[in-house]
Amino acid sequence: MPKNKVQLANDSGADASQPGADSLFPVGKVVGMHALGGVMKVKPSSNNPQLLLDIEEVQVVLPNGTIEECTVDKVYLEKKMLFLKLNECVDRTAAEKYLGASISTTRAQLRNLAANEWWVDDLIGLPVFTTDGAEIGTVSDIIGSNSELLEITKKDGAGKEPILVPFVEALVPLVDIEGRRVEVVALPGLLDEDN
Amino acid sequence: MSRSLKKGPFVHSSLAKRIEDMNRKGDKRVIKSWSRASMIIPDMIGHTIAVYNGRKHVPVYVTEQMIGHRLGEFASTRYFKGHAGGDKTAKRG
Repeated sequence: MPKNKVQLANDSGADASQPGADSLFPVGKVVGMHALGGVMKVKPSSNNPQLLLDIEEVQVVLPNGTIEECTVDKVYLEKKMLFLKLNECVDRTAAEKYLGASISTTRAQLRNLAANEWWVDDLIGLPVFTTDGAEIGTVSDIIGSNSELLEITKKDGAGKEPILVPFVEALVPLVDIEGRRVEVVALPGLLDEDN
Repeated sequence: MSRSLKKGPFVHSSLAKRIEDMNRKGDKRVIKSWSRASMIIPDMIGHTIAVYNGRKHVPVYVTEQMIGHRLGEFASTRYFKGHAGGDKTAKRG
């Protein structure tokens, strides 16, 4: 067991008032080693690995099911791959036991999202209205490698093709997570079913 | 061999005509197009063009950074929705 064992949920400094701050967030999977110093190569599971650059404590689930809680010495990104050095890994040999392990951390340790950026899970299910106030339906998915399309399921559209709207400020001027409201400009031809 | 400069960029004639009409009237509406090979020109900025991807029309909001690219580049014919998980973020453009 690592000597620097920490209790993630208690010592992470998470704001208890923030919902989900203590819930675990998947960092990624250890896919290899880098050099001899005990740096692990981790394939990030998030599409935005920049959020992970300030993590200090992680929970590691080894391939045999053992759970270890470790502290992070350094973390950096290179070519979409996360390089992680744990204080528990003094050299490559010590790090090799983590090969294939899944790593997670608490949401409280993540960097804040940029302006105009949201968690996909928070967006899905939000009611969508036109800027005039008419209800269209709900957000059912975010499509595209760069999250460029908002997929909206019409409220009376069971079995019908969902509507796609480009996720840009000109067409989606309001996204209010707390108020549970997304507003879309009703451009002629944009909200038609046969689009 | 590259396209002759004399001809200018390729834009399907009906698409170019509709863009020109909307710019003249100051109108904004979604234009459906099957011409994925048409090049994005400065006149299209701020318009939304629904580009056919072989199955349906995918709306593309044209911005300045898209100029010189083809319409088809922004309407993928293969959409991979990705795996489920609460670790994905979406950024509004």
